[in-house]
Amino acid sequence: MAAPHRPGALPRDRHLPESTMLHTPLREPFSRATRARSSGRPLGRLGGFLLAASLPFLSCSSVDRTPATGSVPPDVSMEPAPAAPARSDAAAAPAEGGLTDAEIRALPPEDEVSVEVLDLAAMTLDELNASGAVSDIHFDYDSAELSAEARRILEVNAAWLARYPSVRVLVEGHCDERGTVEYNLALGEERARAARDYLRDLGIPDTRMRIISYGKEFPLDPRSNEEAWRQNRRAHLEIIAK
Amino acid sequence: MSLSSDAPRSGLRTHSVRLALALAGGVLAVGLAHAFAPLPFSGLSGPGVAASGFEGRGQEPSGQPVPGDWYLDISRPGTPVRIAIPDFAVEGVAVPDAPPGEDPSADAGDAEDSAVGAAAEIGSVVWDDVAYAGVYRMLPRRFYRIAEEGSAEGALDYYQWESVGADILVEGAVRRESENLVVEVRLHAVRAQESVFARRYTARLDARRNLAHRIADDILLQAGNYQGVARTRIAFSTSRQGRRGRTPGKEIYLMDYDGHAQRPVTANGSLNLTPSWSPDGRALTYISYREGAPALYLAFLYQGRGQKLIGDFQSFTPAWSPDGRWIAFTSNRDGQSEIYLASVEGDELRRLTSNPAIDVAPTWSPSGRLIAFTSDRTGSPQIYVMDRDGLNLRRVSFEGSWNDSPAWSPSRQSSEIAYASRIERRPFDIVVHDFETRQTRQLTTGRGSNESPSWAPNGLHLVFTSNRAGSDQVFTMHRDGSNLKQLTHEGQNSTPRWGNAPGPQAFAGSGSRR
Repeated sequence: MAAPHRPGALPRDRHLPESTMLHTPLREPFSRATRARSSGRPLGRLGGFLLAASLPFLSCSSVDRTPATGSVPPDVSMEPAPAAPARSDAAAAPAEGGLTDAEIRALPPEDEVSVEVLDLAAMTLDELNASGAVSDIHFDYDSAELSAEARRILEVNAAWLARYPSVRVLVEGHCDERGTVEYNLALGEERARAARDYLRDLGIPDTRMRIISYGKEFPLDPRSNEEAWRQNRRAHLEIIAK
Repeated sequence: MSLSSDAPRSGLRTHSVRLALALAGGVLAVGLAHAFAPLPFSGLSGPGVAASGFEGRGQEPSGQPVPGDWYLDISRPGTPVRIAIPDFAVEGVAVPDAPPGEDPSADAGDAEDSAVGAAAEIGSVVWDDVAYAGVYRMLPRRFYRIAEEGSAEGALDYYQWESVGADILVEGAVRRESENLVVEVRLHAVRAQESVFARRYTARLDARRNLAHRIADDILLQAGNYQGVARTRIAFSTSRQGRRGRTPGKEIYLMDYDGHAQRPVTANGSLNLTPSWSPDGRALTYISYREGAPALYLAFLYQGRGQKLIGDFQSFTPAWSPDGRWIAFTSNRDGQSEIYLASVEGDELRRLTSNPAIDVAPTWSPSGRLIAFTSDRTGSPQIYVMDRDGLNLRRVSFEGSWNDSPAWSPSRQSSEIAYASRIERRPFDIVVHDFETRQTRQLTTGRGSNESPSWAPNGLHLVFTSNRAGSDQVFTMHRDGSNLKQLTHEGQNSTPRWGNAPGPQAFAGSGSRR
């Protein structure tokens, strides 16, 4: 409860005269008001106005000498907090050192630099597999032939694998639900082998790849329509070591 | 095509003559089986089939029940044989009439309760088993009281049963002896006024279903020379245990042929697929991903023991040979899907196919001399047959754009292969190809996708999966496509395989690993 109130409390403590600080009737309505606000009831806003109205009335002398920001503690407590201290500092500075905005050149914001973690050790295998580092390829119905698109994807996969020679993959062959269980086990194996063979042609050594067929046991999309079947006729590269 | 080695010869159809005789002459025949001249017959699925003339598997594994020496065939021309199975009596417990002043002991009361419950369950299971076989017309129960009321108290009156149309009458009486149930069964040929057999069955209280299955198989064998399937089981792969980890696993399960007692065989939370039975009905081979790649395992059901047979490279779709010594399966060890044979002892591996195309899903002919499998060497998955050494390849299926999951009928009466077939991209249906006539007939018609057929050991029923109810469930049907029955209702279920009733242990594996 204390933290959100600090920005509001600070300017008031700093700028209100001693006499006001000791004036208990002022503190009471304020603390009650802020407490009410923090609980989210309309009373909070109402209490703030009551306080703002009562300030000039209770201590007229303080109002004239106080900078604009300091004069309305209830507003500070209701506005976004970060702005308040910065402005009050800037306003306070000229009073002490005499330097103005014109003498200090403001820097443009720093250019943002995005950082990608290339060290695979920073990721778990699950994260790595979820990151889309390597992509699935898809096949036609009852076919293990690589389409032009499948070859292009495998070339991208191979380039990535070439960059990380410690990575080993399990090439999984999958089928859609329309084929028979038995034949699909062999068809899935043929799909995995086709993908593996092309990766080998692209320079990825056999020792880094294993193949497995799951037949039609693990569809990506369990629905029974063309789109689901297309998604499910696939070879998936599962990263098993990095 | 040279399929003569497995094609049935007319001599194998010896027993069917009994039906022909019965139908032709309306005779009441009681005689020795195995004693008739060959006659052509192809009416296994026709109405009024009294005796199916089953001869068991090609190379009789030890423990395989042999048909009875006696058979009974009673029918009038053109009418099916009607069997009456009244409720089994409860006997041997005199509690209700206990003399006044003597409290019947609690034990006696329990014994009576359990005997009454057991009698009801046994009677109903026997009824269901006999009805399932489809060889008799079940005489409706409403006629039984008429016959019973007409009979003298406690006496069996053949004329009364004949008057209500019963050809065969099954009498059963159940009593409890300590922890056992004792059931006495008498089978009567009503018109001949003879007792065909009388047997006493004893089993533990909790084995009552098995006891009933045994009775039903005996009735069918003795009265119809019909090889029953009441004690056979079906293995399948199911996802019903739910999601574990990244992916939903599948476990191998077993159930009785009627869907009762569904129970897990594997419990590793991984993917376990495509079970295949040993011929002794006591072991399974299957594929498990439990160590990552799909490997070939054996599970010895009665020892609760398993072993990895082939672990390197990927293995798929194992099939245990009829002689129990080999497992045919698909492996990619040479860089492409090929059919291999591995010895059950794990000391021998032979490659049978050599083709860049997919070769998968082998199934053995009943003699073990031929292997059918699926190959896409002509561009689409089709069924092929080769000798068990990989030679003499020929194509079987020519219709359909996708044919897979071949299952060779174990019956020597017919030389048939069932498989899942699709035209264009329509759902699959189960079809049966007859090698003799070269005809293909369709058993299911367009209700959902129907896949993975497997024959009952007597070659008269098939089990398969269908998604007609929204998810993949296991069904059985008669070999003509009738008598559809759904056995599973939970999860996704695949590759059911119908096994023999458990016989004496014949295969134990070696413990050696490849």
